[in-house]
Amino acid sequence: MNQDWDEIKRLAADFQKAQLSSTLARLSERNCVEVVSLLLEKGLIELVFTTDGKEYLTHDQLRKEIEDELLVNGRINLVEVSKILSVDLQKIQPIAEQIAAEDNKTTYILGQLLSYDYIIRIASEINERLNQNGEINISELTGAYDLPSDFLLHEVVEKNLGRIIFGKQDSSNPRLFYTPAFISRCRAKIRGALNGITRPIAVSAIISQIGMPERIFFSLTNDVSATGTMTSRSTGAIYIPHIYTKTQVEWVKSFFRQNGYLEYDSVTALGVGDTKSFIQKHLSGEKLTFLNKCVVGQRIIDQIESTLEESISTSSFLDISTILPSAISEEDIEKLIQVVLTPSKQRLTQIFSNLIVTTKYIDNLLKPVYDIADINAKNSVESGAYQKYIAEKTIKKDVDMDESVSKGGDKREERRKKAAGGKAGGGAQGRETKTKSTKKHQRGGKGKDFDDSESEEETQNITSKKKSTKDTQLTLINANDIKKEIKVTLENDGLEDLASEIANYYQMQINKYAHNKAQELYEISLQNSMQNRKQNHGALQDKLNNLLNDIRLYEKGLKMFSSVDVQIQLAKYLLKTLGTEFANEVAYYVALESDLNFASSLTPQLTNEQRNRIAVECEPTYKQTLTALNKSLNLSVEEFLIAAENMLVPCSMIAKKIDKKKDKQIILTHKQGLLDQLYKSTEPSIILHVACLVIFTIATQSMLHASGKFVLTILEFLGNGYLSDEDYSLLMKFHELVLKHFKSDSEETRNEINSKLDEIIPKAKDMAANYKKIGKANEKEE
Amino acid sequence: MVDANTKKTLQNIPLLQTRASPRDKDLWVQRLKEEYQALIKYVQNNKASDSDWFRLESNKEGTRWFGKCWYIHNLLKYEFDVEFDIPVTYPATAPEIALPELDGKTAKMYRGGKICLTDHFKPLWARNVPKFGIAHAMALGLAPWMAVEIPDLIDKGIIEYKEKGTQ
Repeated sequence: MNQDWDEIKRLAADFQKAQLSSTLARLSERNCVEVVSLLLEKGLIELVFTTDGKEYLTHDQLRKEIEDELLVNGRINLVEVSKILSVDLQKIQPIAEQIAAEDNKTTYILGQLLSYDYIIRIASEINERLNQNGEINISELTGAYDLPSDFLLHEVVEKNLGRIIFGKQDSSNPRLFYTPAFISRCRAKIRGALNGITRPIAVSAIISQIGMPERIFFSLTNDVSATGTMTSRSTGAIYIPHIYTKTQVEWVKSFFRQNGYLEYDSVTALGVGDTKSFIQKHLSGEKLTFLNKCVVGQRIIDQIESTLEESISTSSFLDISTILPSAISEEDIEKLIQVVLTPSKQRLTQIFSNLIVTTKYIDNLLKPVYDIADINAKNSVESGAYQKYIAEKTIKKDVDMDESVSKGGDKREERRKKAAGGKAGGGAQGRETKTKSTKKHQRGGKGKDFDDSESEEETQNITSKKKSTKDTQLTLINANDIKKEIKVTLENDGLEDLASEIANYYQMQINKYAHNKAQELYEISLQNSMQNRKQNHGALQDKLNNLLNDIRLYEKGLKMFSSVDVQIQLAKYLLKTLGTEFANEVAYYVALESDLNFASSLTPQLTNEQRNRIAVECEPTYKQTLTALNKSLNLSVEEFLIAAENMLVPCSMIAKKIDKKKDKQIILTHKQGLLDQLYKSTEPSIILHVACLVIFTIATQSMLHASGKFVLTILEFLGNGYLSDEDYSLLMKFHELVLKHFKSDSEETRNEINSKLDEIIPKAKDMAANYKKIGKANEKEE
Repeated sequence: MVDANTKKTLQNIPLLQTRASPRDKDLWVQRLKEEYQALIKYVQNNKASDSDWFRLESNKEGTRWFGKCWYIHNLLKYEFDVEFDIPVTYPATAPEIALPELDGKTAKMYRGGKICLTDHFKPLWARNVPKFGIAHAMALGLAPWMAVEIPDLIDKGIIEYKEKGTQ
């Protein structure tokens, strides 16, 4: 127990000792930190803290440690150094720069330190790589070594070129290096590839085939004496071997030489792009004609020309497609035709697709057609269809003219110009102009106004014809007729296919021809009728004048009779005969002039009703006067004369002035006429009648118009002082005999009378013929 | 929780084996021996780590302990008397360490200057009966208390630095 307590005591003593023993003669960490920080504060030492703050380094130590790291690795990244040494990067960087600056074998780049050994090492690595690949690009190395390409190029590769790295620097791209073996290998490959090619091949295809970077390919192709050319120095280029071009050219030449033509398509199929220039270049010696799809040599053209000339000279036709190679298209044939047909030949030919038909052939072909056209034209004019057509056109023109007038002067002027152009135009129009001029000449006597309007109408017709051929053209001959006519001839020549084509082509022309013909015919007929009308007009005028004059003279004659009764009777007769004749003539003329629709059915002999009807329906200019004339027929001679003279005015006739001398002349001729009649006639009654009239005329120096009814009255008048008793009794006897002759029933008495008359007639004739104005002399004597 | 430093310190103090109070005559001796050995080791450790912070001695029976403890703040050393008794229920009950000088100067203290230990101390101690001894009580109880309270008291001006000579 005590022993335990002793031990306790000893332990207590130990405890005290432990407590009292002075603390070790060393600084605790806390104190050290404090001491160091105090020293730093006072600037007595310079230290570098580690990143965890637990350690300090002197600058020298840091530099030494960095150099150690560099020695070990050859290449160190400052970031990694800062991690390894747990020193802040900012502290390391200046030291690294310092190292690089002081030691020229060490390089500081991109936050990395490189030792000289390291550079040597990568240079040899690069050399190995170069030997392996044959070619090396700095940019590849940049990736592999994570160093800037400029550094690699200038510091590593170029410096060691020829020492460690054995290769050749590319002249165009300094970043490329090759081994000479690689270059010659590539060159051999390229040469092989290019020599093997016989047709154009895209460069890209060649490159992919020989497995070579394109830039090497392009830089080496020049060295390789290739048997071909490259279109450009890019991947899109095409390599064309000379042999290919040569075969192309040979093919083109031989084909052309053999066939005389060359299709573009077949040349394009050879792989030639610009066929035309290609052909031109390689067939430069030949005279070529370029068509749309092929080129044709002079030989074929000569052939065509000679055949064409032959067909022209034989006036037949030529199907060009038969003498041309089948490869030439329709279009090209047309072009060829254009080439071959010189203007002089063109005049002699007509083209229908591939067919060159000589005009002579066509003329022959169409001769019967023209005959038909003539006939048709004639028919149409005669049937009036053409006139109708012209009339319709004129109506249309009038409408047009009205419009243009309302629109203003400009258009009219335009039309005038057009008309002038129409006249100047050749061909069919020329003919028209001619006819017009003759017409003018013929109508010289007419009023100027009339002529002008006519000519204007004429020109309008021309223009309208030009203008409206398509819409209002009267078809005088249609295509089918032509076709029918020419088909037979064509079938003989095996050209029936062309029938409708030719027919359509010439239809217009023939139609025009027919129109001209119709126009011509129409104008001729028109001229004829015009001439007739003019003559008629003149004749009528004369006739009417004569009639009027006669009436007037007769009226004078009837005034000789003292008896009013006789006068009235004579006047009535006069009006009934001559007056009615006059009225009939005038009315007929008016009916024609007014274009009354029944005019054609009339004859110059009109009834009273017909005259009245004309007067009602005729044109207003005539209406009044004609009605008056009709009325005056039932009135006195004086009134009739006035009405008749009025009537002449609207009929554009001139009433001749009363001329005494002429009257005498007329009376003389009248007398002569009567004497002739007297001699000629054998009928006793007429002889008696005429003899009375002659004697009256001579005796009174005035004419008498009287029927046989008035013979007795005349005789009585003559007996009263104009005739000698002897003559008077002779005539009275004659008169009695005539009366007896009319009244006699039996043959005997008639014969008896006839014999008596035969005796008396010559006497009476002589008496009448030799009658001289005894009466007058007697009167004078008296 | 106990901070890392304290933990490290604790681990370096040898654990005790004997469960005995001053009433158990022979066993207490055995226990006292272990206490001393632990204390010696602890002091040696402290000295080695330049963190020696107390002086202790006991009566003959080892039931009453007294001495000094100190704390260095701003390069100044503040020194206090420390005393405690071994309770009869020891080691189940931890000794109540007292700093009589500071009695009434801080709230973290019972009457008579007994320090208020942290909430962690008692369960930790209870779990480690009988392995924890006086050395553990000092390291786990008084050292953290002083580290917290003394700088606070100095700042408040409750305790002031006394020149060594005066003590």
